Amino acid sequence: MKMRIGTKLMLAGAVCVLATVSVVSFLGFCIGGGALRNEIESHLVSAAESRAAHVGTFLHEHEEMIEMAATSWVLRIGLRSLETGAADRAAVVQDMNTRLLDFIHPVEDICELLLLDRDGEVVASTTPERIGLDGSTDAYFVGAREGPFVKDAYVSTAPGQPSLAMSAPLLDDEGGRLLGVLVARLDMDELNALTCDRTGLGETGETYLINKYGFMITPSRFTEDTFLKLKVDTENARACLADVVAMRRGLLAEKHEHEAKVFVGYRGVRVLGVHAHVPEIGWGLLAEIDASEAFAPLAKLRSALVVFGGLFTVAALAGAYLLARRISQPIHDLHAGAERIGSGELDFRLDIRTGDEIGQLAGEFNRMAAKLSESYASLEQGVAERTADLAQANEELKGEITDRKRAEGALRASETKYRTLVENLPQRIFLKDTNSVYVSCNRNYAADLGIRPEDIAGKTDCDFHAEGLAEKYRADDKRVMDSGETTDIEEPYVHEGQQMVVHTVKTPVRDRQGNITGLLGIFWDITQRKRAEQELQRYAQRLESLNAEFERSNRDLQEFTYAVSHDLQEPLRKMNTFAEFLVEDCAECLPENSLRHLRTIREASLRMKDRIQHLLALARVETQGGEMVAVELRTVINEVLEDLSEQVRECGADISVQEDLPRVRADRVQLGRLLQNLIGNALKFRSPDRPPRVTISGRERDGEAVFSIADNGIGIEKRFSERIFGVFRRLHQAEQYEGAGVGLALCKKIIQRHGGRISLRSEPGIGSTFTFTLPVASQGEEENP
Amino acid sequence: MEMRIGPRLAGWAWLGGLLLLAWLLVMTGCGAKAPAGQELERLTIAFQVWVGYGPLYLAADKGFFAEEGLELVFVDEELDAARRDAFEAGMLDAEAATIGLLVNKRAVGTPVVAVAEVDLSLGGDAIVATEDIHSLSDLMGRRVALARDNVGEIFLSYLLHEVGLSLELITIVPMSPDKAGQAFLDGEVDAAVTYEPWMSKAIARPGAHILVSSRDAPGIIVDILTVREQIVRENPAVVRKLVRGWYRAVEFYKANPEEASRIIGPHFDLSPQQYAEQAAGLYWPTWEEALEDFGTEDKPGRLYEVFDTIALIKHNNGRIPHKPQALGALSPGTLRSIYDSEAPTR
Repeated sequence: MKMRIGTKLMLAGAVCVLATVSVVSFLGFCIGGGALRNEIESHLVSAAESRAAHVGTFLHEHEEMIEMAATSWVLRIGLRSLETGAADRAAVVQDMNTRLLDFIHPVEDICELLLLDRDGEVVASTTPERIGLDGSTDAYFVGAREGPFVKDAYVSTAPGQPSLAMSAPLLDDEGGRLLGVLVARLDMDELNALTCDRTGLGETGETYLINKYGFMITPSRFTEDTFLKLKVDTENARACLADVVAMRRGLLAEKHEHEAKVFVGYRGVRVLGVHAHVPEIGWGLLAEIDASEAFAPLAKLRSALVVFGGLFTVAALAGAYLLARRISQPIHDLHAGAERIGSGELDFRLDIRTGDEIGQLAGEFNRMAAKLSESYASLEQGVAERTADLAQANEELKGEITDRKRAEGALRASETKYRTLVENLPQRIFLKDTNSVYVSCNRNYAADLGIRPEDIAGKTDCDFHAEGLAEKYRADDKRVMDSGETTDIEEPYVHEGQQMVVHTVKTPVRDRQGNITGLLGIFWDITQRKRAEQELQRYAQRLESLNAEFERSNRDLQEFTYAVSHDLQEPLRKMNTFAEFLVEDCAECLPENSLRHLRTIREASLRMKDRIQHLLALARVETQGGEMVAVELRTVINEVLEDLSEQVRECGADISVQEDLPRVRADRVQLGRLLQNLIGNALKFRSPDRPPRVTISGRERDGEAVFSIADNGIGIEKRFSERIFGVFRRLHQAEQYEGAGVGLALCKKIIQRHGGRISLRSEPGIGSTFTFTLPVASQGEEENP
Repeated sequence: MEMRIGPRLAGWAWLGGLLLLAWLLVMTGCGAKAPAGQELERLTIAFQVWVGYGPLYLAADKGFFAEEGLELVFVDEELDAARRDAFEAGMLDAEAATIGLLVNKRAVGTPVVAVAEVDLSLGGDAIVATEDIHSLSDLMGRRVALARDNVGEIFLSYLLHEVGLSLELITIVPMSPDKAGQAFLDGEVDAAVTYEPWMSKAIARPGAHILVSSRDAPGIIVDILTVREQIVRENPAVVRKLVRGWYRAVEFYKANPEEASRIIGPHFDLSPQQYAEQAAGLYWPTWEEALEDFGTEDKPGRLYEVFDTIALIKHNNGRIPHKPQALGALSPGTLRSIYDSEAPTR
């Protein structure tokens, strides 16, 4: 049988709920119902027992009364008189009647009293018409002959009235002989009142008496005319009468527990009933109440439990359904998910967010699925990769085999080449083991040693060299192998008695694991080279001393130039001054020629003075140079342009300066003079055909600043481009372009002082471009204004 | 998901079902209903205490009546006049009594008939007397306790009648047979006419002896089952159930006296041995013997004669106003027909 887990859960929930509801309802009904029932039953039992006790008391009191009356002297004397016939019968009867009336008077429920003689004839009565009746076979007479007697309820023949009779014998004082029987007939009113008190018995409760045959002797609450006509043949009545019999036989105690039971009552309806006994006469007192009324509270309780139980069951079943669904749905989803993943849908994921164990399970499931998917993908990828790797490895292996074959061939060829190379190298090559014992060497070295190459194995340096030299070689070997580094050594070498210098390279030889297994040495003769080096060193020393001498003479020359220039000014000034004096003083006294000569002397001295000034200026570039500082070239250009502003304005020049010119390290004053000379030249040697245009630019290149000042002036021929930097060099007539021919020499001198270079590139009629270099100011260097 | 319901689940389901059923039963009140049982016909029977009627208890206790479909309701009514009134009022259905009491009732028109012979006193009834009384004639003038108009009176009357004496000559102290036995034991009277179980008690008086017993006059003290005429007429089947139950008990007693005594004894406040001893003073006729004693209407049996004799004595004693007819008072037809519908179970 297939059953879903939700159904099972719901079924289990339903069973639990039903079991709980059943047990709770059952217990509730048993406990609550039991208590209610006990209360109802005990009430009924006490009603029955109390009424039975009242009836018993009633009978007992009346029996005593009759017994006492039966001891009446008047009655007994009267009976004896009648028996003997000794007295007037009518008078005796009258006395006895009066006596009976006296007895009956205070007792309302005694209807009549009969006095029967010993033969059973009524001889006196409170009801005169009864006198003379034969009562000899009547039970109250027959029974009373042997003692006090109660005649069970009966219908009195005379008035047809439900009655009860009590009788007692009248005995002679002498010997107890029976004289007669006194009978009291009671109506049932008092008994009915005692029995049928229905206080506390509700709408249907009643108590009634049955005689020993089970016939009702007190009125029914529901049925008319039941006196000795209605046989109460019910379970309660039969049990009651059986008890009566048992009590009479001593099988059952008179005082015993009475238990209420539900049975079908004499009306055919179910009643709750209990019985009690009036053992004196064998009556039963039955107390009954309709079960529907008695158990109305129980029925209410039951209804409440049914309704509550039903509602609770429905609610709980609904809850069980929902709970089962809530529990089973995620499991179902989980199952479906497992099936989908099982069918290969590895990307499927569960969407269960219950937060409980199933939610955690779903999370774990998803993680597992993800890992599975990942593993599967990586597995596939791995397989693909492995397959590819294998294919590649296969290919590689094939290639490797081919390569190896090729390599082996190449190796063999290489080895041959190598061997040929080694054998034929002019260098000496040897291989030693870690103990500096030769393993092999090339042919040249073997030839040096005067042996065949194959004979070197097992030899040491001691076998070929002097002890001191061999020891040095051995120490070098050890140092190289200890340090593991290749070492260059220049060392002495003796070959055929000749002292030589060789350059030896010793390098440790390693195996595959990197362990040093020996030493490879290669050396060659550098004796010639060493000699050349020594020669060169001697030349360099010579050059160095010449240079120093040159610098010293140069300095002396500068000092001479300066001194000459400075010292020549004074005589020149005197020659000019005195020549001027002569002209002024002897203008009129000297001939015109003389004056002309004097003027020539004077002009020549002035030119000489001017040239000396320029020479001084040149000399001062070196001797009186300022400090090298960081200079913003643009600032200096602006200052120069300011000085040249009048000239610029006059010639209508267009001067453009690049904005971001490199900062330079320079003598600010000399830099200003440099720029003034170059820009001034550009303005000065302008083309007459066009307004001058000067462009100043600069950039950093190879760690130095390169500047250029280009113009559209007259230009010069290329062959003059070096010459114009000479002192007093002029390309034009002084009348055409004034100037002493010192400006560009000064510029070159300034640039040289700064360690830079200056050059000109020019084309006649197009323009010229001066290019010069200066050192770049370092980054953090402050500008010195 | 496929899963079979395991035994545990099935068990739960059963448990749940049972609980639900129990709950419904309790809640709907079915549990409070009386169990339906076989409805028995009921007859109310009363008799004086007499060991000869023991098989009635045996038949009831052994379930013979129930098996016949009869519930016999026992009512203690010692006084015959009260039983007579109860018969007349229709409250009493049957009684076990001496044939003399049947005579009494028939004499006053009580509508009862004898349907079966139940026992013969065979020493069970007796006159116990002091040691100085040796014969019936010694009783003359002596105080004798007996139940007036009862078996004792009949027995004594019969015995006196046989020897030509009269009850008049004896000082009768009327009292019931039990009290008579006790009165003799207490020395209040010189003799007592009584029967078991009081006879055995009375004999304990020093010097007491049994002057005469029913063994000496078998057949005169006969007990019969009487039933209200209306029942015999309208529901003879229930009468047959009564009689069949009786004879089954008698046969059972004869076959199993010890067990039967053990069952009956307590009803008479006697041990089984005591009961067996007292029962030895009587005889339970079988159905066939009873049939013979009853005879038929055409050929009346011995009981008719006994009835008439007792009627005569009673009439002579003035106990009954007239002599009733035996014919009609005895109903041999019932006895004959009790096994008509089926074979006797013996």
